[in-house]
Amino acid sequence: MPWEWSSLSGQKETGMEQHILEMRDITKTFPGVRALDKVSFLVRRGEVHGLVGENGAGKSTLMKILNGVLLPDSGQILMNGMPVTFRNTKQAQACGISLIYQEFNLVNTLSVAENLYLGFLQTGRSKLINWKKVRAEASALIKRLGFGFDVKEKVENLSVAERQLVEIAKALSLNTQLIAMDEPTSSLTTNEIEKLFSIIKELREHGITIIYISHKLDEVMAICDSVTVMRDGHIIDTRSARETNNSEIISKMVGRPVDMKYPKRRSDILGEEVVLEARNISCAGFVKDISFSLRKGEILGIAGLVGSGRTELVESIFGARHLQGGEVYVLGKKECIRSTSDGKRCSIGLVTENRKETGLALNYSLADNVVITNLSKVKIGLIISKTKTKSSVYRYVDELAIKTPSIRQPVVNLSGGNQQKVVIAKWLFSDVDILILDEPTRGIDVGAKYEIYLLMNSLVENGKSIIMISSELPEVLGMSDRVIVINEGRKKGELCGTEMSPEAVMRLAIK
Amino acid sequence: MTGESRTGSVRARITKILRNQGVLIGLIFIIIVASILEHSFLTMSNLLNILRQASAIGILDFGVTFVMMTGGMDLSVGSTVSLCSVVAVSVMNRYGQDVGSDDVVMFAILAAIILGFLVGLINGSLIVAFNGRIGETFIITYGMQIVVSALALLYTGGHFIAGTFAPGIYQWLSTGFVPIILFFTIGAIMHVILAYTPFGKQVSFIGANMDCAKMSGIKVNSIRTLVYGICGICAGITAIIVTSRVYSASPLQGNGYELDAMAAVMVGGTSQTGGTGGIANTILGVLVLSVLGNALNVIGVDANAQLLFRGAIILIAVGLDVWNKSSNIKEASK
Amino acid sequence: MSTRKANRSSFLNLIVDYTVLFILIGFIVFMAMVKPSFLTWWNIKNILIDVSIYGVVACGMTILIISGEFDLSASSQYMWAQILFVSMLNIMKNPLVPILVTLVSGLLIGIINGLIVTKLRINSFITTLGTMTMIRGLCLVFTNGKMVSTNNAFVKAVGSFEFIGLSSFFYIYLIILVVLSIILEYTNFGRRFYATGGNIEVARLAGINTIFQKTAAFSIMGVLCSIAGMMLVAQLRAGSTQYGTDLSLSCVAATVIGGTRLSGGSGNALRTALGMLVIVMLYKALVYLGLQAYYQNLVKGLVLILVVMFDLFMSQQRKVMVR
Repeated sequence: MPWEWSSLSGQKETGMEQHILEMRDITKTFPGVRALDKVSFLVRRGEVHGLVGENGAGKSTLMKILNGVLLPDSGQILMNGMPVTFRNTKQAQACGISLIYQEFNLVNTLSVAENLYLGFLQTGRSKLINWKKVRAEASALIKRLGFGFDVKEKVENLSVAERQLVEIAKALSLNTQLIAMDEPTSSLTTNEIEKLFSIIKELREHGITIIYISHKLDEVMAICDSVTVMRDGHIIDTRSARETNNSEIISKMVGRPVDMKYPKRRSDILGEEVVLEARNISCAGFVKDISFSLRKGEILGIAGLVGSGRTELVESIFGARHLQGGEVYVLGKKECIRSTSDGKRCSIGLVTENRKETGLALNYSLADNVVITNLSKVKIGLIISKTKTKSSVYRYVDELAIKTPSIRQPVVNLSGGNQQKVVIAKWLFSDVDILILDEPTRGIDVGAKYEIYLLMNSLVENGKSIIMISSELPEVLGMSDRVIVINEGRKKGELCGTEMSPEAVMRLAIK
Repeated sequence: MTGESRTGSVRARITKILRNQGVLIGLIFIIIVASILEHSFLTMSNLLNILRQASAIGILDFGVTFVMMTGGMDLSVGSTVSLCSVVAVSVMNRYGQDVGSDDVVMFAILAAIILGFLVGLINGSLIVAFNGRIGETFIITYGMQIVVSALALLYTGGHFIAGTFAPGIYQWLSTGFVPIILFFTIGAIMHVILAYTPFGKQVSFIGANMDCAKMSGIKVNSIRTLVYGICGICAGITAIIVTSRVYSASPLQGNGYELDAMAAVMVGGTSQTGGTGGIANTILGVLVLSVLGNALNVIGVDANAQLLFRGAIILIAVGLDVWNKSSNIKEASK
Repeated sequence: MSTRKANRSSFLNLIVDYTVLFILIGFIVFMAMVKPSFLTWWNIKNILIDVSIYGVVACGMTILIISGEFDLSASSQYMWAQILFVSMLNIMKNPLVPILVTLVSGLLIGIINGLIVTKLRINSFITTLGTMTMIRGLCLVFTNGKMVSTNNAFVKAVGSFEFIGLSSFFYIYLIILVVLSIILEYTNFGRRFYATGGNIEVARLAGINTIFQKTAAFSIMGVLCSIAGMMLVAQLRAGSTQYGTDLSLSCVAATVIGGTRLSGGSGNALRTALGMLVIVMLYKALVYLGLQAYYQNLVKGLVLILVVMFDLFMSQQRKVMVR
């Protein structure tokens, strides 16, 4: 790749500050929660610095402060040895800091070129925007990254990887010295991840510092020079990546040695009976001709890259998405599932990937959220009974160990793990036998994850059957009896027993 | 972190009370001011008058409450009332002689209700077909308002329909305590349905989070359509009561009813995005607006100027709703 | 899975949404066959006058929709401008002060709308529904539903002015259209409307003052409504609450027909002009075909619903195409 970097002020000169960024004694408190407690964070110039920690450890708060979105209660930020303060993102950018979020900071209806200079486009002598110049500069910037897509193209027409490139180009156009990337690979194919890594390496070659925030420890270990672990609002340790390993990092993240991540199950519960069979499922644009079956007491894992169509597959089986072709058989009987209420009637329940958006009514109470799937269970005659509701809900709160001060608590106040349990409780309440879990442990800390795994085990031990979609390979392999791998809408393979290995899955999941 | 507010300064406490009970306080305030300015305000007959007027439009507001609880709105209710009015009266005019008093009244009532229901179903079906969120709901029902209003005008040729056949029973519907009893009875029934039956709980849930409702196996499309149908039925009932008072109907009868309805529902405390509020809230809202309207009349404010008030009230009501919600979010945030 | 469109000439793409062009041509052909007298020069002139007056407001509506908002109070503002203007003309002969006062009144109303929507965070439908009612009330209080008229010489002159057979209204509209289009395409102020409507969070993070932009959009709308109201007075030498009840929705329909998305972030005034041409021709055609007033309203309502549903349909399609 030909590189032409124009003025990037000499980063490797001697005599300059070794640390490009120092965050000193940063404290940030929200009502009832101390998100950051005297955090001191140092980043060397020109390195790729990984930042890891469980959800709630404080990573995103720290980054938001760095990006000007939040103001610290106390503490200092120093860039190149000089103290700086920012009250908004623009000011942070002026100091050379850019943060690339998971949700892209792009306006989809506008072109790539316009997004790069949003709101502040180049004007010519006539005080009017000189589009030719804008596009030329934008093209040059994109070319420098080794890509050649049309800057006139509207962002909404680009793929996720391309949008990410636009974001990086945007950061570069602002003469950024420090780029923080938050979960940059969550929607990328393996090829695209490789490309991203090579870009990161090139950026490092040219003196740009990168903070890499990710849950994927393998990636962090692969690309980062040093790794910082956070836990409960504190920095626990910073190490050079070569001097540490995954399990060391995990135990620092969690604060306890973690060896057995996936609880074992009884081996005799797997039945012969096929509870669900999907034949030739097709769904416009997402899924093509997928067939699989689910046995009683089984946990069937669905692996594949983000965006391969797994969610759409289960949505169409559940009835949340229009099924274009194929058939679904429940307990051997063909069912016509055209809506989610049909799915529910066929004893299928879906725990969605976004519990906050589609799993819960956040301002409703825990009780209201749980009983909504089967209101007739708590009614006397035509009227809903408060006592019946209470007793039913308490039962689930106990069984699932949901931590809450009261069942009237609005679920928005519960932690991620407990919220997820409420969603599961909701489906248990409707007595479905087939439970589909889409990324059940996303955004949940390690302790709560384990509880969910235990819960899954007890569910299948009690006669339920589970389909689990997960993008975390260890999780899919650790919890499933069998794994099917989806690749760009098609089923590429099925693995069980000793065949189940990360390499085997990966091989099937990518082209 | 529980949802309890910090007990603190007196000022914080007062603000909280104002927010939660503000409407009630407002109502009392208006009554006091009005009775000071005009002594005839606080008489039994005037108060009964207020209640009677409130009852007619109040029933419509119950229907609108159901719609708004799902997060939608229906701007065509006014013209639906007009259409049902003219149809009801003309049915009685045309068939009164043939069929006899009791039966024709039954026909007219059924006609109004069924027609209202059909219009509501059409609204609901259109909105559901286009997976309508707030923008589409607004424009679709606004368009329907134009269409239904045009239908009413077409039906009557632009004229006013005077009732020529006089069935006493029909007119009885708006005398004395009858409308008030109807109002509270229908209100009670609808309140029970909304707050205590599975159907009602699902209605509110759809407003709270439509996507979640869908993903929980709730028949969102059917319920949304039905809710508009119910609103249409209420429009029909309102049409009957309104025409019964004057025993005539104008094709522009219901003009502006939709704005009053929305104002009453929102003033009462039902959120414009749905999920919270209910019939009890609406009863309060209806009373407040009726008292206000009556007070303005009694003091002598011009009918045209009252439009100014209508608009302002909507803005104030929604503003309060938004304020309320944002403070709740601040209290509940982790 | 991304879909890339072929590289079209961007200038042409700017002005013309090919579907709209088809509709327009189809419509003209239809009318030519059914009632050829519809296409006389005199009739076309009249159509252009209506297009010009409504078009001025439609420009404002386009800017608002691009910014992600709506303004239903346009009709009432238009009425109010007529009434205010005429009332002032009846007080003084020199039109300068009435013009200024009307413009300022539009500006103020627009600012108020903008502030309520942005600062009080009330959604623009309900806000403008409320202000529409209030302003309408104001108009009725002033006129009691009666028409007000004027004999002002200046106004008469503007109303009867013609150049190359086209009325002054057409030129006023043309100027406004060109100026606003340049602003939208070639100034940062204009581009920021697109950013605000396309993704308000991103716009804010980029340092754009979205409160200012939205308020500006409403203010521009207010001023344009005033201009349009004054134009109508020039045409009819009168003002009334009867004129312009369908203005808001006609503008929305024109904008959507022109190809601007209701979800915001795209579109331009030239396309809306084309859309307005379609709408006005439709209205005139209804009158010409002899339909009663009620039928006309029926058709107008149906057109609005169909147009919006089409836009909704298209946006759903768009969501399916790109992952």
